[in-house]
Amino acid sequence: MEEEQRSYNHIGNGRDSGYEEAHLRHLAAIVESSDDSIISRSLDGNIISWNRGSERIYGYSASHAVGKYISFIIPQPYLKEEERILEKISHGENIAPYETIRVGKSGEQIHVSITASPLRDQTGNVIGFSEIARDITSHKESNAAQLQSVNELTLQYEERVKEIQHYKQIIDEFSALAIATIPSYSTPGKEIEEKLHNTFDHMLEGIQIHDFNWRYTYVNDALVSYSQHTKDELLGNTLMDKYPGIENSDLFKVLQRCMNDRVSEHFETEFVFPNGSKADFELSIQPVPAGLFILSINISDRKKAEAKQRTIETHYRSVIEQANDTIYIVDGSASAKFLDINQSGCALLGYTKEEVLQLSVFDIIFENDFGNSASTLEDLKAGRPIRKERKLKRKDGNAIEAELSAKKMEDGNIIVVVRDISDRKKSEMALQKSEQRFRSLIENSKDVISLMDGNFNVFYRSPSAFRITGWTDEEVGMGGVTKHVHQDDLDGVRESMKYLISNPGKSVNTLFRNLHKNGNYVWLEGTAINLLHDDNVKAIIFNFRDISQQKEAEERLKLNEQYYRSIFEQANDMIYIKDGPDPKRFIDINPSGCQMLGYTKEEFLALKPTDLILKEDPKSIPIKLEQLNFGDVVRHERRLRRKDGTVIETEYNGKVLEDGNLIVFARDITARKKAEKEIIALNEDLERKVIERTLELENIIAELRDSEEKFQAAFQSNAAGISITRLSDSNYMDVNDAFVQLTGFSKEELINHNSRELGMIINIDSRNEILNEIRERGFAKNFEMTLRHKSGKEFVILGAVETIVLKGEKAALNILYDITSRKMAEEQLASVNKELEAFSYSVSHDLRAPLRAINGYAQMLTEDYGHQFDAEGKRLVQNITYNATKMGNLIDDLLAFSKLGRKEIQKVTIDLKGMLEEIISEIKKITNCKTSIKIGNLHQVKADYGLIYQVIFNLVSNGVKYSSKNENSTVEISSELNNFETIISVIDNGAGFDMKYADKLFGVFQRLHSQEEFEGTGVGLAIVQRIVAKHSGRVWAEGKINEGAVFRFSLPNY
Amino acid sequence: MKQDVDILLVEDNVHDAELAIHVLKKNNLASKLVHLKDGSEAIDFIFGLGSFTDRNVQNVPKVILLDLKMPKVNGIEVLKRLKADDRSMKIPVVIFTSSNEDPDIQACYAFGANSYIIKPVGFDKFVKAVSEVGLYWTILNQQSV
Repeated sequence: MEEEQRSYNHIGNGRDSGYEEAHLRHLAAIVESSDDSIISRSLDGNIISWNRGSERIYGYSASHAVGKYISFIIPQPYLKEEERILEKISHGENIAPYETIRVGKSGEQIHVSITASPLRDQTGNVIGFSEIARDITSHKESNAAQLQSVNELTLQYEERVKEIQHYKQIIDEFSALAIATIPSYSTPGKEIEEKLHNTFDHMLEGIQIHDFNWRYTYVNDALVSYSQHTKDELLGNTLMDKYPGIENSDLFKVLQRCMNDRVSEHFETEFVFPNGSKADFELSIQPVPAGLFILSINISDRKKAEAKQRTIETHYRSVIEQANDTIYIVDGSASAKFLDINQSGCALLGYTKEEVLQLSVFDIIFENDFGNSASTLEDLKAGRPIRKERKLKRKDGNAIEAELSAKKMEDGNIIVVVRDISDRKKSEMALQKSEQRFRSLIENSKDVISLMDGNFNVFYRSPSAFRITGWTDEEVGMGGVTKHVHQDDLDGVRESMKYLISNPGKSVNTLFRNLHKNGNYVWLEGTAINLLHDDNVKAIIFNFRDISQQKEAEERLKLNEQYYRSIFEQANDMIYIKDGPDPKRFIDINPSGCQMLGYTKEEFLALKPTDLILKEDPKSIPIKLEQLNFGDVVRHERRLRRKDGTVIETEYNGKVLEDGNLIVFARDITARKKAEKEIIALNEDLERKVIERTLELENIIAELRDSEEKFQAAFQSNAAGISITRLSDSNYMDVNDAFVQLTGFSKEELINHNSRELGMIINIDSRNEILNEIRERGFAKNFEMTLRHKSGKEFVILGAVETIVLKGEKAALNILYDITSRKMAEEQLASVNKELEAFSYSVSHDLRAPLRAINGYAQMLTEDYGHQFDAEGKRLVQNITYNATKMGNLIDDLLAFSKLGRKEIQKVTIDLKGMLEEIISEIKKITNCKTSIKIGNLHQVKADYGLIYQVIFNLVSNGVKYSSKNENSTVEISSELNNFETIISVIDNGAGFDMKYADKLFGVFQRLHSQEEFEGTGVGLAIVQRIVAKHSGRVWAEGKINEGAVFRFSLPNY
Repeated sequence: MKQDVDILLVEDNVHDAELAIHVLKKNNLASKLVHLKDGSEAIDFIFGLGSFTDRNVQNVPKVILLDLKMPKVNGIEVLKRLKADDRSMKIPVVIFTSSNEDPDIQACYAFGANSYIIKPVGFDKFVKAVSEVGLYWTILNQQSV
């Protein structure tokens, strides 16, 4: 309503007629470019303005039209409509678009769609109206053309039907005539016959009469004319002569039947002449007394027409069916039932064809139109074609805006062509709206309009001109159009002026700076149009406005853009622009971005936005997308893939710009992320370590508690006497039961006293010595000391002392083993050993001396008295010497064996190979050795050199001895090493032994062979076993009689 | 200095002594041999004590063959006394014993024995040993005085 209020002010301002006139001109100029006819009229119908659109559409110039009543363009029948519209307008009503017909200058009908709205004065009174008409002729014409083709077809159809009916009538008439005449022919009378023939002669139909032999007895002229023979040729000749081959035709069969059976026939047939030409005939065959009467009508033309009609009918049908418009035929009676409808019609109305054929026209018309429809039907029945806009009711009840053309056909039925104009109606509504907008635009324009004459003298300026330029009309003055134009813009302005003057009707756009009265230049932009030739205007219209602000804004924008561009280019952060929150492509990227991602700008812009995103990362985050679409700045962290495939972590800010694009600022935070991760990892590690340590501590505490308990248990129930003494005063802090038992003092007597006070110490020096050792070294181990029991009895202890911290004080943990009994045993052992030594000494001395004596005297006997002995005497002395020597050896071995028990072993690393070489050379020295002694693979062993020498010596010399009776005797020595021990084997191929005596091999004085077989004392292997046992090794043997023996012993590897 | 004795044999076992003397005689080494039957007699002989007071102690033997195991005063004690006295310390003392016990051998050398010979059990070896000892100490060895 507000807009309307304003429009009164402009248009109805009658205060100044010049002003009003100017305004009308203004409007006229503005509407000049419209294709539509815009006409303003007074309430009495006279034309006030007539735009160029009107000129174009109606052909009349404005000078012709203005001031005239509108009737010159309205056909007579529509003048009433015009009256109704004027009436409505005078009541202030707007006229909705309606279609009507106007007449152009050249008399042609113009279909137009018209809207009209009233013009009011200041007080709101309607003083006139404007109407806008749009030419819809072409649209109408195409409608009409289609309709006409249907009408034409209908007409042709009707003509054909008439033709057919005409011929039918003729046939019927002549059949009747023939039948009427023939009976009289049966009683021929020359007169009658002649009369008949005369009648026949002038008939248009062909007549021929055949006798029973098919001879022509009569032919009339009409027949002759299409028989392709002369009358004379036919008469007297037979049908078969003249039309050879006819006797084989179906036609002839019919003729024959009629002839023979005396029956009549009436049919149509095609006849082929001997020359091959064809013709259609309608034949009536009648038996007559003279033979056969045949009436033939050439119906070739009719047939052709019929065929044509069929084609037309098909066309007609297809036109109807395929027409976009609805076409239906209704019963011409009052019931107005549907007789036919095409597919478009069914689609338009929403019915099937079958459904429509059950309906009447009144079923598709809204009730309030019934009256109109009834009167329309009357018009139609009276033969007046009608064309109407009407609302039709669809099956679903909706209305269709339709344009109806209807016409009564010959058969009285009515054909109706319906066009759906709902869309057009809509566009018309839209047009109306846009026009209203257009008007309000003009009326509210802040633009300046100035009118200039051909010399560019301004004779009119709209009031806004003062506001924009600051100059009054007087100050601008005559010819002042360029007075205030900026020096730099003058040339352009003058050029535009030149163009305008030389191009009437043309417009030119111009942009220049104009000096404002306040001394500033303002930017003016405008369009000038040369309408000097237009009688109605006679001016150059210059429509312009102040665009300084826009210019400034542009400048600012340019600056801003430079500013932002430089930020964009210089930023260290990556900045890129995508075509939206759900992007399809990149639009821009800054150099930092290129560098960060490793792409050139060109490469980057060719990427798909998803190319940057890692496969495992989400393409978009719905909630973020929502925020983006809401216009928020969205911040998150995102991983982006560089060209080389490496990944950078970014902090990613996005915002949707006003143009819908999405700008993204991304900062490379890979390093930060890495540091964060490291910190996290470090924290995790620390945490884990704390947990571990805590656990460890707990374990330690548990262990401690455990060990405390263990210690407590060990302390209390230990067999050793344990005491804890304070280091400062040696007073007992705690003692165990065993200690109480050991010393004879009760726990109470001991605690807070020391051993000296209690008289336990016998040798104070040895005690102090141990105390010093404890103070110096922190411990003392395996010391022996004699103490005094409470009862006074002495006892010996083996002690160990360890310093500990107990209850914050340094203390000594003393562990005392009572070794009194052990000491005694040791002493006893020592004495036994002494005795043993004495024994073995006496053995070595006292047993050996007699043996030597025996030997000596036997020798002396031999030397001094040998010559007196016979052989037997000599043998006896020899036996004495042998046995004495033997006993000496036994004693030596026994002594050696017994000495082994006392000998301490001293382990050294022994190179067995070297040792063996030495042994072999010794053996070879003392025996006449032929045995081959082989040295196999040998390892180093840790053992007592002398003792192992003895062992190997014994084993090898045994091997040599027991294989000495064997030719090719061999002894092989080798060793093998396993994880624990080294096994040394001595293998011979000698006498061997029976395994069942294997356990006796290593016993002292045990022998498996007699002295006669192999000499020996039976001590060698016993010594071997004793030495090996002393080394914590094992010794064993395998053998078979006469197949050699293997002796093995092992030595531990440590 | 006229020596009235070359070898002083201190041996309680008469059979051993006889065998030894037998061997030495065979080697013509027994012409100036004195055989004493225990340690105390040996000491008396060297220092002119007891039944040997009239003996000129200046006449020291070229070698003393000393058995270890003897009644009254054993060989080691005799050795000790001889080696502890300036008058006798230079007389070579060859321990001639049946004992091959290590402690004895160690002790004898420690007290200054000049040699330690174990009497071989076999008579052949005994003969050989006695012969060689006699030859060496009475003929080959250069006296200190």
